Amino acid sequence: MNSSPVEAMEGAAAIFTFANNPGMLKGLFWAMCAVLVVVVVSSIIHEIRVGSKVARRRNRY
Amino acid sequence: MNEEAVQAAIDAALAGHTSINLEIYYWWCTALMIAIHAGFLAYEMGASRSKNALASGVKNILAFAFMIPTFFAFGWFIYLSGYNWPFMADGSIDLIGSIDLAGDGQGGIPWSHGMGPNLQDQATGVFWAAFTLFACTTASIYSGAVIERIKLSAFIITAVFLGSVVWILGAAWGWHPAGWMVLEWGFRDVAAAGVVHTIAGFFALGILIPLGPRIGKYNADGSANDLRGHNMPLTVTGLMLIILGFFGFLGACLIYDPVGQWVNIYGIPSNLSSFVFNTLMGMAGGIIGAYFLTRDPFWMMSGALGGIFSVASGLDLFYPPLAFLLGFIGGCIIPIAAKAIEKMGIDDAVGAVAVHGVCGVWGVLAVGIFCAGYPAVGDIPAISFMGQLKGAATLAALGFVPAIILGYLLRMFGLLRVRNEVELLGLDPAEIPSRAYPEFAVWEEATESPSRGGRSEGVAPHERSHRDAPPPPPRRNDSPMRDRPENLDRPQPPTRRS
Repeated sequence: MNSSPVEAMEGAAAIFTFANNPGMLKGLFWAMCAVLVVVVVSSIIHEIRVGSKVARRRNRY
Repeated sequence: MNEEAVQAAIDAALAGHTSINLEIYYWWCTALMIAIHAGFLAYEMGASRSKNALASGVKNILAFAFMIPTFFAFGWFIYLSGYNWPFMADGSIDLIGSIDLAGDGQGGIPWSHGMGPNLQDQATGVFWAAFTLFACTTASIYSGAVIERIKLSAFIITAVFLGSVVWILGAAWGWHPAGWMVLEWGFRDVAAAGVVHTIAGFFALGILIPLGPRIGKYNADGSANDLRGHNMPLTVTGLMLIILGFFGFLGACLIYDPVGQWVNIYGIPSNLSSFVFNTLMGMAGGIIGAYFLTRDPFWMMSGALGGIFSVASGLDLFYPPLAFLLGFIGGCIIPIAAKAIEKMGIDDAVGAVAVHGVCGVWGVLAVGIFCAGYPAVGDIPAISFMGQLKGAATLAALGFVPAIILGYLLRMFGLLRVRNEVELLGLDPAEIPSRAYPEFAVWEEATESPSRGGRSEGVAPHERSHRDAPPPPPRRNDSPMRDRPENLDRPQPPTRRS
């Protein structure tokens, strides 16, 4: 019988959070993907706004 | 303790050390590879004009950051499962059935037990990390070509597509012991001249065509201007850092075995000594070749890289003086290829297509020319020139075709290139909330800076000139090209260097 948490971990396989909860793992995975997509979309919107702003300012003069 | 027990204890200790040493080896290879990205960062910022220096750097930083999670998400899975794609064992094409979902591919699924902390798996993490850094390298190779006019978002999308899909598919085909190019053609590319450099170089070419040249690059008569970067010392220092990082890259192309025979990525016996002989000799040849033709430090340092790529496919096979000669030829090819690409109206800001694409092809073909007949292990055929030629063509097409399709799609939706006004003003003042050289700017009160969203920020004099009035006539000494007598009477481009 293992006497300590450290001994209990010897020979263990996956030890990461939610390793035995596939639904949670997939949820976290898709959350990461969603963050990446949101950042790219926000970058696209930022560039469109900045481009319009620079063009307007240039046309004003 | 009897003899068997002692032997068992020794074997167990040795196995433990082997696993730990393997982890340590790839850990440090990965760390060293980060120097590639530090180098590309410096290189591309220096190769940009000062008004675009930080925007070029942001591009590199984000390429690095986006590649890591996307390679975790699908890049590693593509490598482990796509080595036969799209072919079935009988040669027929099946886009879904040819993916290895049941075997090795299982290990690449992002929620599998190997893809995270696991006390019984001391290999997956370090191999994934090394391949992730290879992927980051492909994105950095491509990024230099498109500086000063590509949208950051478009760059992220294309870089992820290159690093986490296109390149790694090529690696599965030609840099995997079960890859179909390896088993069918005997394709050999030990240190990735083809699967990394050819693919990345031709991918850059595929994006450059729809992207178009920078404003001011070409005159009305089609002649090209030399839009020099603002900091050549930073550029050449960056190139030297890239070379340092490539020692980590090349080291990670070997399969480490501290007690047995090291093997290359195809499982064929090899060692680090052979790698280092030819890496250094190829690099030296590349520098000298570029010096011989150009006397230009930019091309000399690019020649160092080109020399390494010229010998990379056969890094463990060439006689070192032959590696020097191959590198010398690579160093000579680079400026010639860059000039030819420029004459075609393609504005590759740093010569990435020539250095990586063309030298990558040369490196793959060199193995077919000088190592034909060299045997392999298992079912892998011996090296042949035709196998290398078909491999080089396949990898070039794999880089170019998806890139040009994606590039035109992004252009169709107006997502590829910044507006002309932004390009003229400079990407830094338009989009970046910091300044690369603030002490050199003369700030003007009550002038709007779009990147900061307020009216309290000023603009530098060069920005004002674009904003206030039609561009002034360009100066004769804007670039060395214009100083040449044959260029003095040509119409000048409508921009000034900042």
